[in-house]
Amino acid sequence: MKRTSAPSLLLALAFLSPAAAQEGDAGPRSERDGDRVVYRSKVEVTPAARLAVRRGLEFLGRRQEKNGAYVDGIGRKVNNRYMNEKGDHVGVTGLVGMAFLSNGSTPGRGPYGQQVKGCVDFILSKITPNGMVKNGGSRMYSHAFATLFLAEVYGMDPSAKLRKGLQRAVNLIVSAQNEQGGWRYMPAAKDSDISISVCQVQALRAARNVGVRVPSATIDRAIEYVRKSYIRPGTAHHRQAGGFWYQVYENHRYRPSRTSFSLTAAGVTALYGAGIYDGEELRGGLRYLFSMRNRPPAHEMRTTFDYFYGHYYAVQAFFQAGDGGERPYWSMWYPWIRDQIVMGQQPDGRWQDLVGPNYATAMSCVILQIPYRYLPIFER
Amino acid sequence: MTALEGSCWGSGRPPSAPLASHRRWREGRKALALSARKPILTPVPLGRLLLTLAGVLACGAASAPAARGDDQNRIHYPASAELGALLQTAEKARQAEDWEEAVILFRKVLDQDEHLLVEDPDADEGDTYRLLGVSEWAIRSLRKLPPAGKLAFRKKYDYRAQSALDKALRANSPYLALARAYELYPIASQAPQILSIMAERCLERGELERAGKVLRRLLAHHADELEDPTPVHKKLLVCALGLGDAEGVREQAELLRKLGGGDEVHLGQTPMSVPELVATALEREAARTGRYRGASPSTPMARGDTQNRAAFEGEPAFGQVLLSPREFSNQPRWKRPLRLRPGRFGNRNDFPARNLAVVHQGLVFTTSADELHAFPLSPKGSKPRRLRRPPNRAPYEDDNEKVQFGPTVGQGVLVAPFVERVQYDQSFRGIPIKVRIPTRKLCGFDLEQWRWSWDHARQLQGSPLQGWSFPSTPTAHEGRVYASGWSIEGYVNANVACFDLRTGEPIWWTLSASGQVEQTMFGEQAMEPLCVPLALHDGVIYQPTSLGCVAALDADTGRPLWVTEYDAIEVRPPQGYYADRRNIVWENTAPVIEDGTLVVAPLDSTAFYGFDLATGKRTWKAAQRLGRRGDEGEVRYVMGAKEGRIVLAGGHDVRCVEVRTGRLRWRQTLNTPTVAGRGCIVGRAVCVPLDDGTVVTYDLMSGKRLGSHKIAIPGNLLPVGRAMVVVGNGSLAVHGSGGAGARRDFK
Repeated sequence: MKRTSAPSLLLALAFLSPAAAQEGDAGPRSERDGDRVVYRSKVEVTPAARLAVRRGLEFLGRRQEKNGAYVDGIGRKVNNRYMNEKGDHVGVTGLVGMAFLSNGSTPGRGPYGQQVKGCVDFILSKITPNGMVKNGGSRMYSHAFATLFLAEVYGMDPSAKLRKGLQRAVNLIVSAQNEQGGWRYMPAAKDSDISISVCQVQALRAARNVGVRVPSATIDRAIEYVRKSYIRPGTAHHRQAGGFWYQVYENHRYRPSRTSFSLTAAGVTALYGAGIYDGEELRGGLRYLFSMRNRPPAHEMRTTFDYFYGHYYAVQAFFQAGDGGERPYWSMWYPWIRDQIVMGQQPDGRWQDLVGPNYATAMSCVILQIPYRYLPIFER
Repeated sequence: MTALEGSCWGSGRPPSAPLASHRRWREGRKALALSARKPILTPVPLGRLLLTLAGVLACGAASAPAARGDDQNRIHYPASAELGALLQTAEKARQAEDWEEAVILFRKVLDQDEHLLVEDPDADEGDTYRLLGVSEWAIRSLRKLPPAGKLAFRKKYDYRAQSALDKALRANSPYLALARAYELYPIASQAPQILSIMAERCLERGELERAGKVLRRLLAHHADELEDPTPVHKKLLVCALGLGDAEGVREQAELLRKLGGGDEVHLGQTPMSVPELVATALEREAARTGRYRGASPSTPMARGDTQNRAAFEGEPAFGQVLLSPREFSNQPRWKRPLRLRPGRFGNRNDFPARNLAVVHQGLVFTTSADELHAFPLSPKGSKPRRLRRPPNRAPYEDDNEKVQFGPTVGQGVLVAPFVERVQYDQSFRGIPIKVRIPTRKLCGFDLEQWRWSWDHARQLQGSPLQGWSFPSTPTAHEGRVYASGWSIEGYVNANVACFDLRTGEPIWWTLSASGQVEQTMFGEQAMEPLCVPLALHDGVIYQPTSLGCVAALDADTGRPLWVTEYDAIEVRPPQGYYADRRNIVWENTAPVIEDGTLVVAPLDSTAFYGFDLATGKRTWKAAQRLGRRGDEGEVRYVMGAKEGRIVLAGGHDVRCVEVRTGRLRWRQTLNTPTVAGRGCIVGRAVCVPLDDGTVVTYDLMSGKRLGSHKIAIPGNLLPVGRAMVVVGNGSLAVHGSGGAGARRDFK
């Protein structure tokens, strides 16, 4: 039986900023469900957030290329920079498509139906003979986002062509898993990291949800990998306890990797995506995330490449955690991040970061629309 | 239990089952919450479920390539679990003598195949991992059907086969369309007719080897459907005569003699005896290879033939120097050191030589990374005209020792790869992000008009082959050129492509397998992917992928026949900031075919292997190094093959092994000098070039040292007619047969 203690409720109240207490926010409420006290969140999308989403989607609707693609920086992080070249980005196209789907549009239907159709066509045209969804220098991140999008579309508007492309893309993810159980920038690389692995796990989960075959061994090994990345309390790295390592070094036992808010959000979401709903890693990870909520700070939104990425996974982690755990995580987290993101919107409806406006806007719209529960991958 | 059995991660859904809905997802999710990986059965039509599930469970391993092999480098195959399941189900129907069901399923597989693979059902336990082409499996199984099964097929599909035949005859490329029609309807009533027309087309175009292959296939699979096999044997005899294949001529002539009942064979209006026919064949062969007096000597393949055997008839010619060393360079002109006269040995440290040569009508051609070079075979011979640099090429200094430069010639067109563009290196505070990787594209040079006739750098723009690189020597054969290439699409893909020799237009292309090479800390490939030339034998292309497997493909359509793995050196993750490179022990070695065996010394392995040509089964494996501790002998490449023997050389070692068993027959150790290039087998003499400027010869059968000869420069050897071309790193020379000359009595 899970109960929420009084101090945590106080913390929750303290955490909710005045800005969060807008119209529609009633704060967490407890209800009794048999023996269990369950916190039912009444915190959902506010009119301000709805407006922000509408403006964001309108911005995205205008930005689609003729071939259905969205252009942003295809590249890599190098130290604190993001080295990139502008190009038709399969990953960003997938994310933009997810933003439209989260709003209820499907291919050919809804206010952004044509845009979704364009995204599908573009991504299908970029599936290479080996199954990789690739354009320019894009890598496994983009492949996973594109596959996730295809899986979600397939659940709504199935077709044989889509099924074939999706199965090939999923087969590539399955074969690309390495000995550690994780994934890296390129398929079948010998090392792996948790950031890329979570994208793949989510894509596999979404594919499985729509009936595409995913070997269970792949998921077992991914879970094992994510669990290995968890920094347990009482170890030499107790300061980071509860976080998830960026990489696991099999042959260098005492060589520490690094951890961060984004990586921990990725770790927790990966576990949820793999079908693990309880455990030490989840509890510790959520606690860690909650304690790191101001990193990266909101004012760095435009000057980093991982602000939206981190919050994209964090919001999913807290959404899955709901209000029934140690704390009413969802009720405490969502209003805070919602308002932070709404505040960051620019006058023309875009959000911006180092990757590009399409990416940042798509991520923001997805985060803001999670409470709609239109996408199976974002359902509890 | 295979990777697929009971897997599907809680889905319980067979691969070809109908679509899932979100409602079903929600239902499934409840079960998932209880046990994350328990199968959730969803409502699917029972009959379909049972049929397909049986196939999936039996097939299992069709998806295994994706989830297999923790101990080796991961290889991603273009495999299909769905088609594997269909094939298994079809096999069950065949065993149950449900012919109609079986032929429908086999046909479905043939229709849906897109050059896909499934695990070989005939692989025994303990065999190396092997896959079979989906269509190949279906065709083999259809051919095994009894007459009742074939009747069921014909009843159902003859009209479609007729339609496909009619359509193929109207197609732009009838031969390719006919080959595809035959693949789709291999046991239809029209199948013998399709093969006959294919053979006729080949004969019209003078493609005798291809015609011979089609006719042999006709006899092998449709002999009982032929009213009179005599015309087929006559055509085969014509093919053998044209190719100078004395054995083939003798065999077909004897058969025809028996069928006709006389002592002579009637080809056209003149009856000829068997010895006369054999003599004619020998004359043709001598004329083709330049040993016939008055003929222009030619050796159009860099390793002698399409089987890369480097085996030649006659006697080795290490007599007087016909062409004193001429210098060319692998470096661009502006980087070459200023030298007043050609050096005697070139750069001694650059061995083994990377340049290979071909000879066409008295001219020697060789290539470097960015240039084509031509020389006369002797000073008295006709001098080549000035050569223009290949179009769209920039000067490039190639420092990749594992790349070989060499052209191929066919039907008056020379084809070779040249650097098209380069991905230059990029680093962050000295930590490599990207390394220099050139993309090499093929160019065709018309030897009659003496001009570049086609260029893939421009021609493949916008095609699926745009990003492909073809670093190895291509294989020209009867109007087509086959090339092994790589492309980077996340994975490194090993591809084979076939082009029209005259125009460079793509005819087909196939992805054989995908794998990975070492990476930088930033996840970019840390080396140019490895690529070796192809081998072509009896209408089948053999490709060592350098990614842990060997593939065989149909040369007509690119359909995969089989893929077999070998033991590859493990690719290691980056160590800290830098890529951890493998130690590659072999030089770039083309696969060699001899006596029904494919011998491969893969660049990514520490052993060499023999594979059965028909099945792809690995028949033997032998280590590159000998001795108990693996520290003795150091052969670096397969030199050639003849009479059931394979010769390897490199470092201080020359080794001869039996091609059937891989057993060592003899070994010779050199002392001070080391092997300086790719030698050859002339007659029964194994010629091994050394870096001290000599060639040492050994007897092929006994390994006895026959003698040594001084040559102008050390390098790769290419016998042509009565001469020997030697190509070193950056220089070329030609030796004649000396005063005595090589005697040849072809009658």
